[in-house]
Amino acid sequence: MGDIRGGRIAVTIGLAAGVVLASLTAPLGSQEPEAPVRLDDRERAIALTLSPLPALPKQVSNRFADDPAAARLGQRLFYDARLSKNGDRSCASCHSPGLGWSDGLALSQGIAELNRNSPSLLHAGYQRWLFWDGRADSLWAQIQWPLEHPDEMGFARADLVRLISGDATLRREYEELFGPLPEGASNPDRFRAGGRPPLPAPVDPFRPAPSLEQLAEADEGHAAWLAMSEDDRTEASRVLANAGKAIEAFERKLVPGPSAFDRYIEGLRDDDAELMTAISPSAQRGLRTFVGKAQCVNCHFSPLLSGGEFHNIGLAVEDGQPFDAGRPDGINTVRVDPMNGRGAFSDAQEWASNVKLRYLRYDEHTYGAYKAPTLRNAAVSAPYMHDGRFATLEEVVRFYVELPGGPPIGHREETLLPVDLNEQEIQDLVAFLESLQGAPVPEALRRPLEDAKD
Amino acid sequence: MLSRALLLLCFLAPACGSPDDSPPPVRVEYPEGGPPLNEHFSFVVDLQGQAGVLVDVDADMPAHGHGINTDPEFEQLGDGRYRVDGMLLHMPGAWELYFDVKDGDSEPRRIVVPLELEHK
Repeated sequence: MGDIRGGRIAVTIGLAAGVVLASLTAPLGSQEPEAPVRLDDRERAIALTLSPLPALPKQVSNRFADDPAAARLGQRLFYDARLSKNGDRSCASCHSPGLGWSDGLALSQGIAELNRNSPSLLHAGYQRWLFWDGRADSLWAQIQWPLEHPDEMGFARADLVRLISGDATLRREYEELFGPLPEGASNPDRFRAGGRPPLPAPVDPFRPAPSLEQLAEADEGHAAWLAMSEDDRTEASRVLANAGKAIEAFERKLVPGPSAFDRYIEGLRDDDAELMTAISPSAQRGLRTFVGKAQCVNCHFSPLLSGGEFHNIGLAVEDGQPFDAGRPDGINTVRVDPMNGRGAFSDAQEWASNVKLRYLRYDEHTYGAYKAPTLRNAAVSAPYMHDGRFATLEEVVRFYVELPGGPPIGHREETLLPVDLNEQEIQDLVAFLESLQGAPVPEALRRPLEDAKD
Repeated sequence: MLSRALLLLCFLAPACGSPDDSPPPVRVEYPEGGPPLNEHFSFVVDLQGQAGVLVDVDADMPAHGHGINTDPEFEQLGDGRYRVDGMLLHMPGAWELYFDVKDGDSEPRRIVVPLELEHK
């Protein structure tokens, strides 16, 4: 949900609670108007900018991003639990097709419980930044974290080299796309079990980063990495990057079909009353609130219903919750990530094509800011927020109505004020959000490839 | 090349203090179609003969308490004109573009250009 409520008059929590109580005596459905809801000129103009969804943006750092063969290999890897230390976790574990390409959990469960909510992969190909803190600038660069973090899949790029080398189908499809695997790819003395570098981390100006030798003393995977030759390390990273590019090609296909809302907007644009019945009067009123009174559209704008940038909505730190700086760590991490769009494995070596990295600003005012997610298909990817604290869309809407206090991290954006919505308006907003659910992605993408392996 | 691709849009900087000490206006030449929403873009700013050189470009949404998420770069084109790259206005709403101009040893003076960015 959005986080700006420009010019709204603050409403006390007590008043909002009173509205809730009053509503309990009045059935909501009994006053449903039949006529299409009229939008004023400004509301209509904004609404028309929310649909249709355009084509996917070009992905300059991955020349295989729209290659069908790469997507096919990516689909194999996506559903393959061999890419985990315990053989039990795959990408699909936290991004399950049946759970909105998320996992239905407040906090994701890898090999251990994680400290953030798993975002849906639907529309992931539209994102400028990945993760709640935006610490990756592409889907292929993103993959190193879930794959290699000990609490997530706990795998290692050196193991990935040997896995692909030892699987005839994976090896053939990989080599057809990316060329030969590195020499000695199946040799465990070259590509050592568990061999992985430290994950990219923000540079701390007051505390130099520990050396690989220091890290290797406490982590067997880093020790295995240290024992590999520099050339083999580079080649293992290249294999990881290529596998990531294949998975990105698959993930870019995870775009739902048009939603009821898209049909409504088509009707609004063409003045087609029948098409405008695609969403209920309640959802139409919710749209009016979304673009008007509640100003959700300030952060959730454009056909993606998200700007994809980062906002501090002042979520209170809950008891026992670890400190999570959000965007500043993301900025400082993506800048030093060897897998970023400027790195050796990027297909976009031209400085000019890396505008989002070239001009990226570090801003300490982004403490406590997390990415505004797309609202398309949000109805099927509960729970919500970076830490999954809200179980339903209604809870999310009520958060913005009341904006409860509590110690946040950083500074809540100043135009974010409680908004005076009555019970009907809250339900209308939820109905609108539910109308954003698109047709499921093709069944063939929702499961592992079924063709026989060699 | 760039100038041919730009649609000339002129904004007058608001007065800072009395009219007598107001800086002369700058002219901002946005891309055709106006400044885009939530996309990196380049534009030209013309100091229109006023003394000094451009030393910083920034932008802010005063009502929101935040600025932009990029560090724009700029280069001189000559005759007080500068090409600015890497601007990204990531939200619709009321923005202010800031152009800091320094003349000799004096403190830079800030020229403010308001901009209402619409949904697109």
